[in-house]
Amino acid sequence: MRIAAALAVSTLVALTSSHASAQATYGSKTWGGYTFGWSVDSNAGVSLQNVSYNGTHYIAKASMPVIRVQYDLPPGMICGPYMDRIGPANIVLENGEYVRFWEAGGQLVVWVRAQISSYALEQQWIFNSNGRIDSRLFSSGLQCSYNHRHHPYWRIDADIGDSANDEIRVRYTDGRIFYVPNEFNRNKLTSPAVANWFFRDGPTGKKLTVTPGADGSADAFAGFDFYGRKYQSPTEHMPWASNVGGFSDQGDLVLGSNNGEVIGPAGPSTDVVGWYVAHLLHLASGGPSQWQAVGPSLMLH
Amino acid sequence: MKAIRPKPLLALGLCLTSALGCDDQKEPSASGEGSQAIVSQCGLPMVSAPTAQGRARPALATAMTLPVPATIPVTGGAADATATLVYSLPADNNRALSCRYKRNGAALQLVDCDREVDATSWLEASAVDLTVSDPRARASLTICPVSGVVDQTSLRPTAEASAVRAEQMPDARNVGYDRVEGALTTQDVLSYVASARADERVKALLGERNAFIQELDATDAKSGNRTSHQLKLIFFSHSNGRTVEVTMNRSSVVNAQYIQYFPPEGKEEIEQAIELAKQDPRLAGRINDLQSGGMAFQHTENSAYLNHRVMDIRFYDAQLVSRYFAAVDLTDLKVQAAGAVQ
Repeated sequence: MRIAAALAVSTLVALTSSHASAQATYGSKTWGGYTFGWSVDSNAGVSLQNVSYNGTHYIAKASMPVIRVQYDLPPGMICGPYMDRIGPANIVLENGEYVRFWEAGGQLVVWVRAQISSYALEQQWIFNSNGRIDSRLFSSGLQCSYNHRHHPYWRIDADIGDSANDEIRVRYTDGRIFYVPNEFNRNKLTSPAVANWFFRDGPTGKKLTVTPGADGSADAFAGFDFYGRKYQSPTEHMPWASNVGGFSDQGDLVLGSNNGEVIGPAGPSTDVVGWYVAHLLHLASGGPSQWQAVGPSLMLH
Repeated sequence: MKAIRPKPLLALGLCLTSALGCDDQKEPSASGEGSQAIVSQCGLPMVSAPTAQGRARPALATAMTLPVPATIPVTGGAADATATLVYSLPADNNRALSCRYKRNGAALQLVDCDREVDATSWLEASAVDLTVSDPRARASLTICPVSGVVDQTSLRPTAEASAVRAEQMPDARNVGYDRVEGALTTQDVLSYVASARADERVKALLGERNAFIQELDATDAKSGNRTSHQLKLIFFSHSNGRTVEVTMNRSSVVNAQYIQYFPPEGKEEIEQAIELAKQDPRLAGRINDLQSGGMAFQHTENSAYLNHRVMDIRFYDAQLVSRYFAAVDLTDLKVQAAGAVQ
């Protein structure tokens, strides 16, 4: 107990000193036809809120709540798995701010840098003038000197126009398009492959398209590339209602409502959320200093 | 009229309504043939398609054309006749394209399309079925042109998009953001954490050993209105092995309860675990020049530390290579393992 008391005092001092300044945890921005809010206070990286483009509301919230990491380890070695979450505790401040807003090459780059143990991370939202928002996660560092994979999960709560009347459709590379009637877990490397998923607003036909990047493939630890879910308020901030991390051993993302809820066709009660998962392979032979990036593109159109 | 059996995957691109400009973009069927009759393979009424106009559209590299009629002229039949056009898709397990029509005067008019449905039986039945609820109805198909369904911009591989670290972007300049008056700051959070810890209800839930983990915005992003100082504070009680959620309205505790949630590592936890690790004799004298940090082990059913709050502490060099580690169990306040990273 004496140790505990001493540690409590020391950590309180550390916490106080590291939080001594008054960084804003959210704000807003208008740029190139976009208006949006941003925040860092849900441990989901820098998230975007209420994104509108050319006067149309497309996104209630886009965030990256977790980066799951798994190593290929020899028997007896323990290194993870981990659930990295970017938030105020690990974001590296610059000029007293959590989030940087840079303009470069006709783009607006909204980004944070984080240090989580020996991992250096950079998360970006890149706004392009044509309605495309590229989402990127850069990673470097070696927690253990073994091959491993980072699996960032992006949560996209698309509310086109309003929160109702949206549905999720899948477009295959041969051009066929379908809407999906129930909550689902899917992979992109089907036959034919998935070109993209998109949210579609029934009344207006407007869309938010999620196009995969060169984002690797699912594995036994992170078994899917895209999840369609009905919006549930409790999952807004805490997606994993479980003390074992919310993931099954099969790698499925267990959300609170993974019960095949109806999410289409678009109607007054269809408020949908999509989860996009990338799979970043980091070979130990490449060393700790290599930076790699993954992430999808979101098209508002 | 020439009877044909349509190919099951005629193509893609959908025209949802004539209001989308179908009439202005007349386009032939994929076959480029003249008048056609589509004969159902299920004994359903025969329907016919008039001549497609114009030249055949060259298939796009990333898309083809699936003709879906916008209207189906009908003669006779009940006023409330409806129809469903189903394209089965054998290559795509258990899914099909379904288009719904409603009667509008002398035609069935397309209401809705590209619905993915479970359709195992349809896959076995035929390539194309057209079902008209009134068996006396006769319908002819009007092939509707593609209407810009495929957006080449959205299909652009992201490899073409930017993947450059911010520091390597040429001529980047800081343009800042718009501040929200009264926005929550980290200083506010610290103050509210102190208030929460002073609350008797919270004390009872936290027990003697605990850590503040994170703050969460308690407002609903969908509301569009950020109420800046309503938030949830998440603690982990190491004494009780449970996560505690405290709902705050500024410095007032609104509610406090245990919740089922696996929180990330808190800054207090990492600091605490590093202090414990530094006292471990297996690391003594080896880590003085190294940086330190850590993460919580993700619990899985097969986790080595199931139901314990264990931090994986790393001591790493300037190149971000871990040199030493310590697995620090904050539940038992014990360094479970420590040593050099192999």
